[in-house]
Amino acid sequence: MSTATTGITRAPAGGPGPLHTPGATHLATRGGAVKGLWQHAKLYTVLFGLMAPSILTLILFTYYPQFGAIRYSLYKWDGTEQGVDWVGFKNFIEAFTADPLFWQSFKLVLILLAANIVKMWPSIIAAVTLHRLKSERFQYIYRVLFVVPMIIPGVVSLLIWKSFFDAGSGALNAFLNASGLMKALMHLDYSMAALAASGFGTAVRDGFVINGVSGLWYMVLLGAILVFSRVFVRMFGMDDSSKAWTAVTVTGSLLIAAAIILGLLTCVWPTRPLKQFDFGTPAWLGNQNLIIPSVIFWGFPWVGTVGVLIYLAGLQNITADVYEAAELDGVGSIRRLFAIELPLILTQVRINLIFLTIGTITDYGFFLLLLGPNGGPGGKGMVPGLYMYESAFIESRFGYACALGMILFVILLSITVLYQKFVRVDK
Amino acid sequence: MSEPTSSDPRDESSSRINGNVVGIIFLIVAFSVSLVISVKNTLSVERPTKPVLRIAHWQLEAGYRDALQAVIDDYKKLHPELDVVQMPVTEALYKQWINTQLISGTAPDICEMGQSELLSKDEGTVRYFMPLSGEISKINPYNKGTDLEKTPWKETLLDGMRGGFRDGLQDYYGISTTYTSMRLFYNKELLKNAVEFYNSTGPSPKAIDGPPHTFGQWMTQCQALKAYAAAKDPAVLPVVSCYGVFGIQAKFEPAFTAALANDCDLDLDGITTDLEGYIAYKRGWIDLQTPQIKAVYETTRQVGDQMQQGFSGMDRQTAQFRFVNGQAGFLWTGSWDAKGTDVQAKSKGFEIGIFPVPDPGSGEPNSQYIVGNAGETIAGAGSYGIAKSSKHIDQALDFLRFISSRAENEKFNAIAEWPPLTIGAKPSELMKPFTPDLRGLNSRLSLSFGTRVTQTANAQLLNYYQGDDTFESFAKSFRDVINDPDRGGDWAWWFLFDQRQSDERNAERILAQAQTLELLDPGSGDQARYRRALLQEVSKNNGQDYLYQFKNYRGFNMPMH
Repeated sequence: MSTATTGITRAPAGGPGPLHTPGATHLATRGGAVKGLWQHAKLYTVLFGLMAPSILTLILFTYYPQFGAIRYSLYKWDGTEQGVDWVGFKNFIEAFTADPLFWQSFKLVLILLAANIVKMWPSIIAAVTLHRLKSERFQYIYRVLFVVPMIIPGVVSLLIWKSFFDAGSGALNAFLNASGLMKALMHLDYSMAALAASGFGTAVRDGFVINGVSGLWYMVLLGAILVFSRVFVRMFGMDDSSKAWTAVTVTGSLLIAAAIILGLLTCVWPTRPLKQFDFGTPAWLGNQNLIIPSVIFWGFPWVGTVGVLIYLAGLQNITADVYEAAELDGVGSIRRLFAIELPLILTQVRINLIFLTIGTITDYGFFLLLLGPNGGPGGKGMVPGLYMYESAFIESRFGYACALGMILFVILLSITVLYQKFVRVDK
Repeated sequence: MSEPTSSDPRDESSSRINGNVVGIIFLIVAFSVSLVISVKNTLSVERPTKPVLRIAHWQLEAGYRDALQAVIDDYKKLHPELDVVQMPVTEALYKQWINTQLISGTAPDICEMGQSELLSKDEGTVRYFMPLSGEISKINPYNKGTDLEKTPWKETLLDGMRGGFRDGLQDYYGISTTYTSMRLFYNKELLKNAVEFYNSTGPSPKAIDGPPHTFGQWMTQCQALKAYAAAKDPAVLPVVSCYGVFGIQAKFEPAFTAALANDCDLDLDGITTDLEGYIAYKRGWIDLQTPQIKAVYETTRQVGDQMQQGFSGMDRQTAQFRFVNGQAGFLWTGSWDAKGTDVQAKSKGFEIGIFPVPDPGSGEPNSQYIVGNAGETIAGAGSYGIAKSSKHIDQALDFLRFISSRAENEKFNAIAEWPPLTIGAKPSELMKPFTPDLRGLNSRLSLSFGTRVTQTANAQLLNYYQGDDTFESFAKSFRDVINDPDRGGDWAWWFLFDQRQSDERNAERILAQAQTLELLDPGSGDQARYRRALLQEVSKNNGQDYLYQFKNYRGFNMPMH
């Protein structure tokens, strides 16, 4: 669209403002400063007037409550109008120094976050598959099929999944029993418990314990230091292309992977069998050791509707010439995914990653409905959001819950900044 | 440019139907039609010619709405000048709906109290609902002709209107219509079949096919059901529960620990508070290994053993579903589920029986620690309050008098199949087993010290009850929680002290308000309420008793958090 038809043109650098009419420019250059200002004022009044309803609504319904939370985090507040007392940073100090349960709840979040990052892949693969469909008609049909589940209310979906996990009449146990996998799980249960109780298991679990921290965690720490050292080197603009750096990264990754595998083999499983599979009715949501695997399995095959649509939008922006060039270079299907499609939808991946992280860290409704306010047997389903809810609505410590919310906010903000920094779109 | 021909694509596109135009036309037509229908409906609504009294509640259980409608119909016969309508709202939406109505000043005249903070917490209640203490000491005219005709309204209910009393406000804000209690339901046919099968295998002791009198008899019945399930139908469970197992544990506590509780009653006021129990624990008088306390846990664990593996994963609906489908011998739930369960059971072709959880009988495990039967209390439920925004406050009050009169309360609860609350009102046959047994012990010693400790400890206890953990392991977890210097028992005590101080500030405000009213308009204040608030203020002494007790019993000053 030309400027002649719109009547609006972009101001030159150092001009009076980002948008102005040609007439206004003309008057301003002739020294009619007052009239020019008046013209600008009129324009901006109209623009701000049009924006005002949205801004006011945003301030009233989004920012005001958020600032309310900041304010109340500095008070001891029992949720009533009268019960408000100024305590300064006492709530924060308590959270950092005297509330180990809150920080323990992050363990589950970290596990879920790692699992959710893995669970992003089916959506990416589904989007790529859809994008590569040659028939536009089928592409359309599949897109519609992906959107249809969005109309199912979340609570209904939750109840369906809950019944799926039911110990007595759930589809999961029925499938496992019918397929014979239940017997395999039973054998796994006994053999893993035996491994965990064996000398090897004890050595891995209790070996190299320094200040109560197991050697496995030191392995993870060392691995992380090695992996991130390369990231920092890159951050400071130093050359990291040598083979030595590749070896450092690989060693770090192997250390982490080995710690995870050893941990899964010997630390996660208790030293005595769960005996949940013996009668073919494991209580997936009723046993403390099965809760986390069940929550991770939740939503299988993890093809999220919104995720697929977002990735698809990104994929559709990739121009045909990129594919043509790849084809001429003889790039195969898998390489096309990792060399072209994935790098070019990193913006969408980052958005989903941010949403996913926010959702994982702040979500509590799911756990509340599923396991109750104390996180189920052994408190295994206690996440920070649920802990915050418990502090507010069970203990009536609303001020303290606001402080916990602020801490969560800062953690989320930090992670988002990290994503912005490191998950870059390199086109 | 050449002249367009008939084969020119532009010509084709111009003759093609424009999708956007069709969409807009469709939208306009749909909007117009709905506008016409809305206007027509609005105009066709008859303007009420008489005042309408609106009653909101969330009780969608079988029979409740019919019961309320029957009372409304009776009331309308007596007061034809008034229209009364009930507004049932689903439990899930009641909170949001009633909050909106209360805040916007359009709340129904009579609202069932609960669900929302505005109806259950003091600050919401005092703002949106009428205090009733001035009315409840008067006679209920609808009890005329009965032995209650000269009895003050408050005294005509079994709970003395305790269900509508707010401690923090020192006033009555609701009139209860029923009470609740929890019982074991059993499937008569399934139990009979299981017992017959089990007894035919020659065990000792034999199982009985009626309501058990002792805990041991009940457990034998559960064994019978397990044997029956193993042989005939693996889907059958001995026990399912709508509300887990902690309610059953609470049932055992007085029977086992009443005497122990009296020993730990440090201030000899007849009530052993959580704090006194905590002191007894810290001083080493009691422990989880104390036989009476351990007996509570062990007996409850036996019940857990009769339930589905990992029973905490089974929700209320699933438990009911399995029971009414003949897949469970016993169901643990409350009086509010009785009618629905009974109707569904009958439709499936079996009868249900109802009985309280029995204590261990003589000679049964742990029976040596039983000191007597656990007594029950009556707590009013289904309370209705009157919204301050109502334009028909007198009529609303009158309707509440009507529904709580003996005849109407009996009728209402007979149709709803809930227990009646008015003295002398007879319960229906189905409700008779829910009548509380007021005889027995009420003192109890439960090792729960504050919300945080209790929540954390219960999460561990659940593992023990589900058979996923040993008692020793639970005991260790419990010790870790209770002795935690930051969030353990001492912290819980400080937290109660802190809450007490907040309550005191609220009481001071009530006193100040009453004094101001008296100054502005002498004689208008509620003297009884003033005296109650003053008494509370003096007796609770700004939580100083907690401070004193802590120092005296624990031997050091309370750490201030």
